Amino acid sequence: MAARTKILVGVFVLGGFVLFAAGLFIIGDRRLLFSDSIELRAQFANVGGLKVGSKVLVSGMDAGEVLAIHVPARPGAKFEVRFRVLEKFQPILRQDSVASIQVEGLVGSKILQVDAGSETGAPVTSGALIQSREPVEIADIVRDTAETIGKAAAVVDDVEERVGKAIDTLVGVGEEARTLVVQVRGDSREILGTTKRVVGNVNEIVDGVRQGRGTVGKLLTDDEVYGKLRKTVDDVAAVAGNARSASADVKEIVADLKSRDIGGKVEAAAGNVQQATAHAKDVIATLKPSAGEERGLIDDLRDTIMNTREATSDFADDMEALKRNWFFRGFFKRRGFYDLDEVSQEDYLSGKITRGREPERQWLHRSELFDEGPEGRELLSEKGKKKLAIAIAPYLKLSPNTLLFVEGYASGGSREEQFLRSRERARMIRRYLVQRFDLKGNYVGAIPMDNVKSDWEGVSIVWFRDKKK
Amino acid sequence: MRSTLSSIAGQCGDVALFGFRILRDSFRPPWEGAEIAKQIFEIGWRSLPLIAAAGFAVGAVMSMHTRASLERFGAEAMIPAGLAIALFKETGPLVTGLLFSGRVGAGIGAELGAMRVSEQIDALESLAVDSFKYLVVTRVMACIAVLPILTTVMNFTGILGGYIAETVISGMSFALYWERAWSFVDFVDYVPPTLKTCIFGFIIGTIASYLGYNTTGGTAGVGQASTRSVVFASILVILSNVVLVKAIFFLFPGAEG
Repeated sequence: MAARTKILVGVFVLGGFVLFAAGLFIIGDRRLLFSDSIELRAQFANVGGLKVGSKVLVSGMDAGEVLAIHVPARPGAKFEVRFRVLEKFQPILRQDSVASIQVEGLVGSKILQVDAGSETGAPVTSGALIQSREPVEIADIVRDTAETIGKAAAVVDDVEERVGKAIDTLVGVGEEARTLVVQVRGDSREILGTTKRVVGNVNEIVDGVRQGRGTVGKLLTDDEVYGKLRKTVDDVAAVAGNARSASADVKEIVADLKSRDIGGKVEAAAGNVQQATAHAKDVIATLKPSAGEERGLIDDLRDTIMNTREATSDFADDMEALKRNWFFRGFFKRRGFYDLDEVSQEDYLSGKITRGREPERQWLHRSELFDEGPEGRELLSEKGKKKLAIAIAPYLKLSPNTLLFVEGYASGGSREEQFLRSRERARMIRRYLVQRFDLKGNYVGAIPMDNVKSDWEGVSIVWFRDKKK
Repeated sequence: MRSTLSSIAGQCGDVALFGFRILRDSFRPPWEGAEIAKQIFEIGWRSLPLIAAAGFAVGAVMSMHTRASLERFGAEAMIPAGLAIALFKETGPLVTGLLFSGRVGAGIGAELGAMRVSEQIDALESLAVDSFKYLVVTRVMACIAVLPILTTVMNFTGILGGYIAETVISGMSFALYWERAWSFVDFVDYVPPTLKTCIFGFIIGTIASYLGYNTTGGTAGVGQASTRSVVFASILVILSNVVLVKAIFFLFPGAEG
């Protein structure tokens, strides 16, 4: 055999072997068999088709392979996947790195994806157990979604039902409230009427007293009585002094109480409060109408309001009496607690009511306001209404508690005629203003200015605003 | 009919015994190394151009065909990997085995048949040379040694042919092609299929040697032995492949994936 043949045979066999070995190395290199690596572990309840030899990617880069999958010893335990990762990935892996089983591409094989860890996580060493995330199966997602939709539907039904009930309840409450309001409105009208009547009575009494009629009148005009009263006031002052010293004693007692340890007592008191709360709860429970019981809180409330109305009526009487009492009159007057529609010309002109306030005045002539009506009576004209609206506009911008007076003026004819005409003009305009602009009736007064020396025919609107501080 | 069946069974038994004799004799000296080397040169080295050209063509054709199919799914990126897997797992070994049985099976059958009818084998025997060991065992050994090498050549030239076809159409770089080609190939896809061609080599060598060694009927018998060698070797390679693939799946479970 020629030497050349031998060489060619050698080349052929060696070349073939080298080529084959090259294939082995290429595959081995791709599976990263020839690089230093560390071994890690992760646990999964479901390995989702992962196999021994499946690729391991760290943050999407080829990094190793699955070495073994240990089947758990009992049903509740998890599969343990042991896998190899190239050592060069160790710096970015942490114990909080998360391993998850994913599909390579759309229809590819399963791979183990490991995320890089957090900056603060503990570094991994060989054999470390890292976090894992269970694979998501499409079927699971579909099942969960179906369940969620089912639950959502149930919730929506429930909510719908509850909202329906709530609306029914609200409608019922609204009905009750309306009935209640209607009743209360009637009651309040009565209260107002009573109040007016009382004020009228008190006015008469006060007038009488002022003129020195009756016992009280005499008392007011008698100096001796004044002296006695003065003494009484002194006595009251003495009593106040005693009260002050008593108050100091109370302070001392309180200080004394504070100085003692009363924590335990407070606890006991708290216990009592709890009991009381429990009782209060029972009471509240009795307020609610139970099933089949028609009489409930609303009816009780209605009764209470009835009682309150009576009490308010009485209180209004008392208050009115108090307002007119000489002892408190000044106080109420200073506070402007008169109903202005009841104020007399005398009180108005004395300036007590409007003291400390700045008047602003609008003059309106008869010809601008009134048309001639039947039987010589004056009727408010359309033009007059417009004039009034313009005149009242600045007032409407002020606080609704600002005092407003409509002064009626008339000249010519007898004194009685002047009084009646001026009174009628003032009241007509007042009535119109209160209705038209929804003003508070007890803040608007109508004053006939019959005995004031003036040639004016018509009305003057005056409001008194607080002086600017 | 019965005689035909018994004749076929007899022939099969004969071939089996012939194969056992080869195996047995291969472990016994003298080793006839020079003769084996000469046979490797004859049937291995001289087959290289055929195998390389065929591998190149097969790679190119498979690349073009897989492109047509994978394009429909927008998976052109899978062409190199698909081609490599197909070549390494089955196409490379099988095509090499068939080409080899065509070229070498016919050669061995004709050569040994001619030696038999021209009584050269008898002459060797008279010289006290073990003609079976010298002529048959060396050839079968050479076949076993050469086929994995030729298969590896076929695989790599196939990948190269696939690259040429790919780069002409898509202009893909060699680095990317190479990277993708090997992306799915695992050891079980590469080593067992390549090494199974040793069995192909044994089958081809044994059949061709048996038919040539037992040639009767003069010159016509030589031609018949040559033809039969090709036919039987090819069909046996294909049939044995079924069993071999199953055996690989059994021994290397990862190869199925």
